Amino acid sequence: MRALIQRVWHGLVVVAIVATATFVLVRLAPGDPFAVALDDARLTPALRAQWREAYGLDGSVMTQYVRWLAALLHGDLGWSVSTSQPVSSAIANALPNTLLLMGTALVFSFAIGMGLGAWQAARHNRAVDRVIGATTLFAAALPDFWLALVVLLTGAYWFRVFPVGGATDPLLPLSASTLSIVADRVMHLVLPVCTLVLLIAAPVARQQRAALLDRLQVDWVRTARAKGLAPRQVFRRHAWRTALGPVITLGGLALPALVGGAVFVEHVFAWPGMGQLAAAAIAARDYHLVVGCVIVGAAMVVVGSILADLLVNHLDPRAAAADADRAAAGA
Amino acid sequence: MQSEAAIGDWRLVIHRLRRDARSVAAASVLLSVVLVVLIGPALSPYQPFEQLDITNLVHARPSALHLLGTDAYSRDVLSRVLSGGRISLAVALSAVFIETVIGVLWGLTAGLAGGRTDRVMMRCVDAGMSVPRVLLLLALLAAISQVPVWLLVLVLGLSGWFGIARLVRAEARLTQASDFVLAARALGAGPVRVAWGHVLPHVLGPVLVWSTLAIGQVIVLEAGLSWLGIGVQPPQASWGNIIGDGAEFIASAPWVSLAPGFCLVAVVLAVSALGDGLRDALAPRQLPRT
Amino acid sequence: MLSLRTFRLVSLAGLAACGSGTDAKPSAAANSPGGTVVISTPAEPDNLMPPITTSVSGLQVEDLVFERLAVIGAALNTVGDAGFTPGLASRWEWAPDSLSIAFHLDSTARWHDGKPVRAADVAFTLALYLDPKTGAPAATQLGNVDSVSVRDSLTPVVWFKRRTPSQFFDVVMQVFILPSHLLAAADRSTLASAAQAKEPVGSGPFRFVRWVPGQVLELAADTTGGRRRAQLDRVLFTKAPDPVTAFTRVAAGEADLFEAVRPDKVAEVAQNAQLRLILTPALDYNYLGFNLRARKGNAPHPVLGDRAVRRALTMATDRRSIVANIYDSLAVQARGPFTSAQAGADPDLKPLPYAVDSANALLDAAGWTRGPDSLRRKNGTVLGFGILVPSSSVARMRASVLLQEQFRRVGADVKIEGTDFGGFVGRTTARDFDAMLGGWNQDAGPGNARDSWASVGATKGGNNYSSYRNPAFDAQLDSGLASFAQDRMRTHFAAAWRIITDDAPAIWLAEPRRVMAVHRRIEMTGGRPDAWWAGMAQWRIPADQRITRDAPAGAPR
Repeated sequence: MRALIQRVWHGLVVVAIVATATFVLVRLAPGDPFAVALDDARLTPALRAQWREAYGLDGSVMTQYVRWLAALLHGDLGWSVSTSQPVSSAIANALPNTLLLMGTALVFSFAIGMGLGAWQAARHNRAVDRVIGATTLFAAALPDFWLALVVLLTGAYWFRVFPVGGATDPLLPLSASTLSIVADRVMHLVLPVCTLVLLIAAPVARQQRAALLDRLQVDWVRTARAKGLAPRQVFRRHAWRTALGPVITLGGLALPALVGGAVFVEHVFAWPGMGQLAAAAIAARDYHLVVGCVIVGAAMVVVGSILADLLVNHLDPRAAAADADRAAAGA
Repeated sequence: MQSEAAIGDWRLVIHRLRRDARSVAAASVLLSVVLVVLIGPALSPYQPFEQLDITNLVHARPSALHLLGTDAYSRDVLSRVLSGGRISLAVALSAVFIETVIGVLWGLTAGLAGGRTDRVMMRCVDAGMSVPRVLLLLALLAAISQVPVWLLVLVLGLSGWFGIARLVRAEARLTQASDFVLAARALGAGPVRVAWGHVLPHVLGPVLVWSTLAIGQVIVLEAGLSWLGIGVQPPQASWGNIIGDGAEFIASAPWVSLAPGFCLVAVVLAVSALGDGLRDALAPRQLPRT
Repeated sequence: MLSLRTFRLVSLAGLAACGSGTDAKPSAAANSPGGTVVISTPAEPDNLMPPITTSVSGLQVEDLVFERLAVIGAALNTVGDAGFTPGLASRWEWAPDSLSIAFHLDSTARWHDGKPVRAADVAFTLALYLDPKTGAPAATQLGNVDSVSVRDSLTPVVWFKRRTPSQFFDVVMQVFILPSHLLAAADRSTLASAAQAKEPVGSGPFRFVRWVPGQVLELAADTTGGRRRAQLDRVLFTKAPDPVTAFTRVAAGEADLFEAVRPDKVAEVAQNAQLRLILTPALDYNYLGFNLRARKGNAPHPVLGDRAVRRALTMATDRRSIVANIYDSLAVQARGPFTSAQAGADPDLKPLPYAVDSANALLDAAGWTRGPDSLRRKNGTVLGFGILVPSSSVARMRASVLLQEQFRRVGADVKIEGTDFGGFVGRTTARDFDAMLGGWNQDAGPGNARDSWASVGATKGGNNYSSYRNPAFDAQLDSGLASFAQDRMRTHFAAAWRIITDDAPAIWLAEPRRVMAVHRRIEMTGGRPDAWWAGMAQWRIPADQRITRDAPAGAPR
């Protein structure tokens, strides 16, 4: 329990560092939050200066930081200039979409990746292992933005089976039945989820295979085998359970990388999620929104890695610590 | 951990690598790509930035004159792929070198210092790891706003060292408690000497594997940024910005993006295969642990 | 590859189709209002609070939800009230001294919440636009408005300080009339955060239904008022992350209209049986602007401060090929700081010719001599500069790469500085650039060139990013703006354009025409060069051609 409190405390420190660093970093970039329409000949810099002041974006970085912290204490993340709404509601719109997309993609990726990895480990060095190994190696080498473009072209454009992008059909009437709402969601999910699964399942499979082979060499598995347990039983009862550790750790640690890959995927599929929101906020110099997104993202990562650790500890306390560092290297 | 892969065993590692068909194939692919991009630009018939005829020679199909066709600016794609490969590989190698050096130094310092310093340093690493690298890069590049290639390399390097720092720090903590380091300490070795003489040789193997794999990541990352238009600036070619230039015309002029895309996948594939081979060669028993 | 010849055929075919579509006599059944138009766009409004809206996408929505007192004609005349048609005001009368105009509001006009539109709303709106706390960009153009009095509940009278040629245009076209009963309490310094900025209530043909940021904005025909209702039921703006996806949605049949088809997609639209191409003039021009001052400073720019260098660079530029490369035949070469559709355009202006030999000779004569590396130098200074470009703009990025190569051929060393849009804006306004690839999206008013090229805009708060100053240019422009006769205005403007193109503070590149892809079932009418959406209340979808998404909202599908 003490360890958990400490982890949470560390997590808060991490989020604070990230938030502060981002707060300063975004203000180093040349630009102006009130610059959506430079080409509008009527919009003078003098006017922008006036608007900056009205929305509390004037003064030194330190002044702004103090002002922002004070607002944060009241639970106010500030005003998003580029989307004309409070930062909290901009995030509240995007976060569920990201969670839905990432959640679905993660579940499928881990199910498929772990299955493939286990299959490979069970048929170590046989043809199946080699073929899957080569395939996952290949999949992991594909550039994410490229893969997303190809999936989009194929699924939505050449074959016109799935919608080109977005998370919902804007024409779906508000009074639509639950069934058609769900069906609409699923149709929009298919292509981005497929892309993410192709990208994520490969490293999961590779990690799972390595971890299983690793565990199969360990003494107590050998002992179990020596005691006369069938290989299949050894595999299921012992190796499988402990080999979950590294894979789960990978999941916890790879989260930022996954969210990062999702920036490109969200972009290509017009998925209105956090990655797109953050990237657009950076380009628009929407200072408060960038910081807000980064805080939420970092918090997700911190929570994710704590959950992963708890799970791993529960499965195999001894290996947990070492796994974390090894997976960090691979992530 | 991996004590069998200490510095003296490199001959053994290379021997194992040479017996691994996959690693040999990967290394040959890499070597030939490197050779081609080193020699190629000297042989290529056009300058990579030369716009031959912007009204009549736009998106010419591959032909005897232009083996890989021309792009939207009527530039010879082959010449660009050759010169772009140089940039992409150079950027990736230099960036990985920077992130490895920073990561190793940071990890060693944190691991050997221990206590408060270690905690503070590792919180920074955690912070770095909790932000998606793409977003970090977007923000950094926006802050710089004008990005010559050397600065792009620096930024890529600065955004990617967190994982390796964590790895090295963990190894350093483990080794520090081992008998031979304790013995060396007892004999009066200072921290720098311990780090250099005892810890570094032990982390070298995993670091090498990590760096090899990181090359693949950075090549793809640079390509992604250049695709977004904020990486390598024109008229300088890189595989990423050639793909980006061609991406809008993928349906009508696929040859522009296909060739650099193919090179990109081939190199990343070779690098990952080599990294895997290296990992196996360093620890043939799959990192046994009890 | 698509050859230029087939391409021209395609665009002609598109125009013909457009014409036949609008002229067709609708049958009785086809007359019933109904249908949905889905507009696919990569942009999203910054807000829906007219005084402070700066985005074109915001303006589009506001033009449908709100009303102006009167509306400019398709010829874009801005002198007096010639060509203007009734808006919220059904008629107006000028005072004999032209210092006031009485507008007679349409007595049947209602706000979408049912309350009638009153003269007090007009007075309130103008006061709101003019209040410095509001920070309305249009406040400068409205500087000539002295006050608004209320003669009776339906007759506001606008009083002016001076008589000017564009006083009518300024007050009707820069202002959307707003409901005072909903905005009186709003904090004027932060209007963007008022509820009305998200959910506007207007008096226009369409009322606001919903806006899910990043996804969709929906409007519906207002049927509560007693005035003529829009012929469409619904208009939806669906947001795509980038222009390519936005176009793809239309091509894939998920949306009906995309307003900026790229030249390489034109053939695809022509081959698509569901779509037709529509070409209209627009009010945009692109240019390479030189900074006549050193970066961020006030001293003359070491390279581009030299008029001979700028003229030589202009003559080294093959504008015709650049325009053809980027836009195929979908843009015309720009000649100066104006677009052909504007009233002040000069179709006879002769810009500096494309003449590489003269360019080289001019540079040699000016002391910029070629070194062994074929770059030019003068007193040790290399003829080199950076071009600042927003990397998100495909056309501008393309232009910069083409220019870079053409300048290289006359011995200039040019670096492209691609940056994200925020950085582009920040560095342009701070004058932190050597040259930049800019574009102006203008309104119909003749005053745009004054903001962006005259001395008055050259100060730090102004839009004259080149810091170009020439009193002779200023004088001609101001005389033109003060002319009450169209031909006098044109003469002065033409003189101004000659002066500025000779000084070459910029290379004006292209006037892109608007190329729209529109679903065939939609009959479009009433567009203007500054607003293709202007007639949307009269657009119709014949009943026999309606498709699934034309069904009324809420109906089973």
